[in-house]
Amino acid sequence: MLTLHNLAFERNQYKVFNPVNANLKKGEVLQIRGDNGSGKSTLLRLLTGLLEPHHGAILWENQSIAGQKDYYQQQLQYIGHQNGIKSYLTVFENLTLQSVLAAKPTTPAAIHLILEKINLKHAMHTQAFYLSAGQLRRLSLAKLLLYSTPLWILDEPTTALDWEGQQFLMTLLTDHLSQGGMAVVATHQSLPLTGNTLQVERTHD
Amino acid sequence: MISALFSMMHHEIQLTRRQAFAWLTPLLFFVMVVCLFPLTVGPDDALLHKMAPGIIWVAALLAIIISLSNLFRQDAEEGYLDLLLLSPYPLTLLVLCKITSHWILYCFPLIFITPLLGLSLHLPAHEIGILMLTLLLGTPVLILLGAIGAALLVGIRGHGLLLPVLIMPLYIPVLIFGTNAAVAASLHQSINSQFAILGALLLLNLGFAPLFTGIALRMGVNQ
Amino acid sequence: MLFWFNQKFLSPKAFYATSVLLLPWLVGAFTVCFSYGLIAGLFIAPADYQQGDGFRIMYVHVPSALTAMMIYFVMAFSGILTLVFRLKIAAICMTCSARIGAWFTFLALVTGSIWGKPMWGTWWIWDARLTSVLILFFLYLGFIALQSVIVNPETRDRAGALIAIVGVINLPIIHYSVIWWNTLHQGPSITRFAAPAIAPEMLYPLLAMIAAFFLFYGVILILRMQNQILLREIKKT
Repeated sequence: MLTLHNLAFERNQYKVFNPVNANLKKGEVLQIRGDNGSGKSTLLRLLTGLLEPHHGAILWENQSIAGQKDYYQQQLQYIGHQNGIKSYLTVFENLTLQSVLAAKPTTPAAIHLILEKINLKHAMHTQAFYLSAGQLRRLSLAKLLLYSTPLWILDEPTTALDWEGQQFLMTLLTDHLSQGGMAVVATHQSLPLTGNTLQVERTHD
Repeated sequence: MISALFSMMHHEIQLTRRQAFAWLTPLLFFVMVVCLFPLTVGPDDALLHKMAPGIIWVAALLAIIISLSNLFRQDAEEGYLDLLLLSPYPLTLLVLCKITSHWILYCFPLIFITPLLGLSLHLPAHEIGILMLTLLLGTPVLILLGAIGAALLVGIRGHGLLLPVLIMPLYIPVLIFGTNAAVAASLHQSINSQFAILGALLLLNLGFAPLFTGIALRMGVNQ
Repeated sequence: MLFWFNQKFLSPKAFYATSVLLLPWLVGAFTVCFSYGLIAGLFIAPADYQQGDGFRIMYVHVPSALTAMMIYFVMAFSGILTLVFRLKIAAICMTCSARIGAWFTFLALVTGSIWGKPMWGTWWIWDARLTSVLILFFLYLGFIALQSVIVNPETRDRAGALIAIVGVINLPIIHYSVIWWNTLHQGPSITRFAAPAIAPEMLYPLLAMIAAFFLFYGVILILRMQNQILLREIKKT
């Protein structure tokens, strides 16, 4: 259960967005909508604990994440604007490295399976900078299949994805939610999933 | 956990080796800077012999500073830094991994080519050996301290020469003791105290620098 | 409780109010020390038997160098407060101190150079103290340069604090390694400045000048901090 309580963040002493309140339960998606530059990415980064809010609080299981940051960060997976893929490593190596970093050991067989699912098995030993933007985005989403966590925080995951990719993402999300997971997704388009929508507005001074 | 850290280092090394020319550029820079000195101060044997430890150390220092600008740059651009920060492993250890791989990749070539450069500067063999040892102990300190600077400047575009300006004062102790060990060797004096201090500096920085680098990285993510 | 303490004494507003009251006293104390130090040092103290009247620049050089070093420690301490307790006032103190400290270091270098000309016949010499002060100058400039490239004020304060702390940890190491280096390369003609037994007529003005410089730093620091506090208030609204 994730709760946002009067959350606000300042940059250069300007409020980036108006204070927000929201609630997220198991099996739900919190969709973050807003214009470009309205502070969606900042809000998502606040939710990952990488940024600290200036006002308000983020509660996980009714406890502030500030006091349990390490534990909380193990409960989530974050895919930001950037892909988190190292260009000079191969697709296979990237996934191996991600599993190593997350301390969730995996087997080559499991990685093969994941690559099949995202339709990148043929590019397994290609260095990432040879991939197209859409392929890179799919690869960044592959992390979600490596290991499971209750909370997903996705910043505009549909960027650069073609229709097939978007279908894949929807399947991912639906499966995740049906297994009791929850997700916060910043998106331009409305996703047909249960949950609330949070409109983030940039403050005008 | 140890295997995870080794795995990470292995990936870092793979990564850099594949950018072959980018990886070896600091080495080339090192060699070129050293070659500038005979051209400027003249090819006199005795003079070059006397200046050699200083020349090699300064050139190595400059080459390392240049290589440090890239320590976290690609990671920040690719969004990989977030993965490091969100990892369950302590950031200090992950940073230490990166620093170690960076040292292996960039300083080993430097140290290996030193004999060639030492010979060109008319250094006798045993002094070259001492010089290499000082580099072995001193270059990790340079990278450890430089990593703090690189982390502070991560995400700031076009900072140019700010990194060298920031950390060069901090390099002075290593420079003094490193070069002096070689000079003392040439005068057949004891080199124990210099190496003791170099060792102490290495231990001190091994303890503090990765911690500060981690703190700086967490700050930098706010940009 | 801590929050109340912070608001009452350490918030920018509270500091501003306190500083307005404090300033006249500091200026007064400075005037007293400076007048005594200057008059006694320049006119009353006897000429040094070795250096003649030229030594009197010591009354500016030594206080500048000491103040410059003291300011760095103040800066680093403020840095620790900024990083650990996130005190805004500490960040303001640190940033203002850096510029003041850089000026004092510059003054120390220039007066040291001027002192050197009649002493050693050259405008510069690589002795332990001057070299240490030069490196301190570089540390100050590096700090100011770092703060100037960071746009985000919060990050700017914290990054500056970190480099100040790293600098202060390294400062003793740098200082002693420079002293060590200097003992190896000491030429035969270098004499030590610190006279083993300094006459009271020379010492008291020196102490007064040191106190005066410290107080001057306090005055200028408060004035600059007041400006910074006002600037930050303007930016907020």
